[in-house]
Amino acid sequence: MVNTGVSPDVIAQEYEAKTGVKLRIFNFGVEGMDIQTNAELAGLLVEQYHPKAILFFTEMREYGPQTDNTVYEGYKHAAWFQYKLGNPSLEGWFFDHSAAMQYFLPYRNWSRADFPDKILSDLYRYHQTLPMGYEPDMGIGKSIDLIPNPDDPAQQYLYDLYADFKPDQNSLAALESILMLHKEGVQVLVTEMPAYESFYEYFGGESVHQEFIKTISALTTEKDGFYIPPIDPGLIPLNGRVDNHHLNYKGTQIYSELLSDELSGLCLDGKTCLANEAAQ
Amino acid sequence: MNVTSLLFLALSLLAALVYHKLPAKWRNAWLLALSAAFLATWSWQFILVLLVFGLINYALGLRIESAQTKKKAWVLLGIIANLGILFIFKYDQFYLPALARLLERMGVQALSDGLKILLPVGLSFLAVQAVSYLVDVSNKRLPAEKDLVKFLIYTVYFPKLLSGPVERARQFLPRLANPLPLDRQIFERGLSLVLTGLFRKIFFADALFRMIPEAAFLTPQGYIGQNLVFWLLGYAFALYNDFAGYTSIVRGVSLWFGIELTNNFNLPYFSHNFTEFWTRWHISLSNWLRDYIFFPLSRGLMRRKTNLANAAAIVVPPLATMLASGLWHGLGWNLLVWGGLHGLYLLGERLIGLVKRPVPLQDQNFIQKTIGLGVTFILTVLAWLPFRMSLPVALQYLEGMFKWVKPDRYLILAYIRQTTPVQSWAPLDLPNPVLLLLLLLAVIFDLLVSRKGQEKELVSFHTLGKVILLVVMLLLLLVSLFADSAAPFVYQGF
Repeated sequence: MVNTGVSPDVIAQEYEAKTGVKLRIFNFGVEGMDIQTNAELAGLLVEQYHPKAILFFTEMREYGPQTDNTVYEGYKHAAWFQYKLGNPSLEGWFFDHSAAMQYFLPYRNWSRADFPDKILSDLYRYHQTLPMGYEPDMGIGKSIDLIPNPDDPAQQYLYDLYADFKPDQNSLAALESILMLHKEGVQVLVTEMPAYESFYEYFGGESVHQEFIKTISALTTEKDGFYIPPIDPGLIPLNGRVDNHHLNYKGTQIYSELLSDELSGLCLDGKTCLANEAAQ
Repeated sequence: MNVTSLLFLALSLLAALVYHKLPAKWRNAWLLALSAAFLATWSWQFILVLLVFGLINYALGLRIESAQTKKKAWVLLGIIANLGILFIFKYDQFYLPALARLLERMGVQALSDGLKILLPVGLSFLAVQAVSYLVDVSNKRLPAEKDLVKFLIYTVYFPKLLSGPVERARQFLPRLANPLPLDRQIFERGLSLVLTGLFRKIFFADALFRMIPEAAFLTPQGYIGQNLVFWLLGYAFALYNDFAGYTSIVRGVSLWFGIELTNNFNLPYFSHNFTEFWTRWHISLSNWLRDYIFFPLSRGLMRRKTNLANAAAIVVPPLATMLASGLWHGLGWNLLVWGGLHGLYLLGERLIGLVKRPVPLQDQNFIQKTIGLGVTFILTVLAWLPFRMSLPVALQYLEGMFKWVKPDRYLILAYIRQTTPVQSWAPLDLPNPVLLLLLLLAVIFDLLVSRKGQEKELVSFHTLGKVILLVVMLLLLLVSLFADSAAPFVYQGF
């Protein structure tokens, strides 16, 4: 969820400056990823890269019971994903072992109607993305501070989607499985992305948001994770946002510095320190 | 079971090996069992429906042969029975809603679900085949088949079951009685047909279909003219490669059983006029339409020897034949218009021929040939509009094809000079370059497999050429298979 919202470089530099600890941080966020897919991928990540810590960024949309799970379904049916989960197939083996097949992957949709657009935008993004996995978003949103109009058909959809919000049990189970990675010797930290307050109107307002925070923080603490309270969203100016829940490159810079302050403060206060080789 | 699946091809080859090892007297039973098993992979109910269908035609064939009087009446009954079965199963959307309403008025409720009828696979092809059998028996072109097993194989032989070719009994039954031995040459010919068919279907047809946005054929007004033109060209080549690919696969599989099936396509888009086009496109159905509608109508009208009948003999046969072809494809105004357009094209050619004696193709110069080829191709492609979409949408599409937008040359230059980062293709207002490449490759492939205007199998190639083409085809097949799974054949729906 955070491929565009958090800069690993900024966090590592700030953290080192304040605590003297040198971190190697990678951003494993992918566009449009949902929590169930993240849960499966986090397990694979630990198996493959053995990180010392995982900093998991979450937000309320992932817990809406009606949120469509097409991303997860897509991953579930991918041969490579299944192969990595222990269900062997020739195609999965090829994608995992063959450099030629991996090179071919971005071009596999060559026969789709939107291929020229998709491949050009992917190549552009690929060149923009930094080695640590951060992809700066250059857009600046408008009317972010306005409360979304429930009568606007475009907004109505989101109001309907998150009406009577209560965290979905499957999503909570996915978060739990990420937290359980501590049994593999991985330190798991959870925090919430700093969406603008107007965003929470879809869910029923700030009171519902606070209830959500309580649920997530309780679960994280119960499962031996470390919960970092969300940063005051007002500290990120409106021109640092793409919309009411995504940050642009300016917002990312500010948020990453604020988060690094928080993380280094926790370490200097003796509450928790990030071990070397962290993954987001 | 889809004929492009590896399972179908592997099982077919295995079954063919068993077939050739069996004593001759068991072979037909084996073929019938295989056909029934293939039908059952779609629905076991199909076996019952097609068994009844086969038995009716078997009995009718014997009755027509033995009839001393009223032979024509029996043939007519046979034609009505076959067309009736086709109407009941295929055109149910035409009468079921009305029937349901009538029953509801009579107090019989909730029958709409119960009235749904399962259309057995390939029924349109089987019906025209059965009609040709009965007419041929009546005209003493062949004796009625006494062996029920052989007749049922003719009806439901699994390679040709889904979408033909429309086989004539007088050609198919002798081949069934004397199958070719499965030697290396026959095996290689079969394999080459299967590979060519898979390549046409998966690399060209499926990919071209996917390159056309679904909404383009529903709401074309949202797209620029140049895209609509190239998508229609893409559709034309996709449809051709889809059906030609299917025919090639089933001909290859059938050859492994030693039974040669009729070739359905012979480079149709290289036709120089519409008369030639219809000897190259869906050949088995075109021949059927010619022999059982066009010729009888022409003969019937010419016998009357009146001025009106003479004029009608020129106008009516091509129109009636092509309208029947449209109806065969489905009950809809758009398909009737598609058939009607081709009828008009053929009629136009006849009328021009009356005014000016047509120059035989071999005597035409390059310019004449090119004009003929270009006009035939463009009009054929335009006729696919009503074939593919409803009439109002087809008209919108046709109108939209003339609304070209000038490509954004400033953006193109900025992209080339790299003063603007290249982020997407759509703002350039240029057609999909992959689609253009695939269209070009489709034409090159047709040219490669043609020799003197005839499509030839890969086995007829020089060894080095064969190896190179095979390797390239297999690689491209692999690339296509990883792109997406195979889609069903378009003609399976008819």
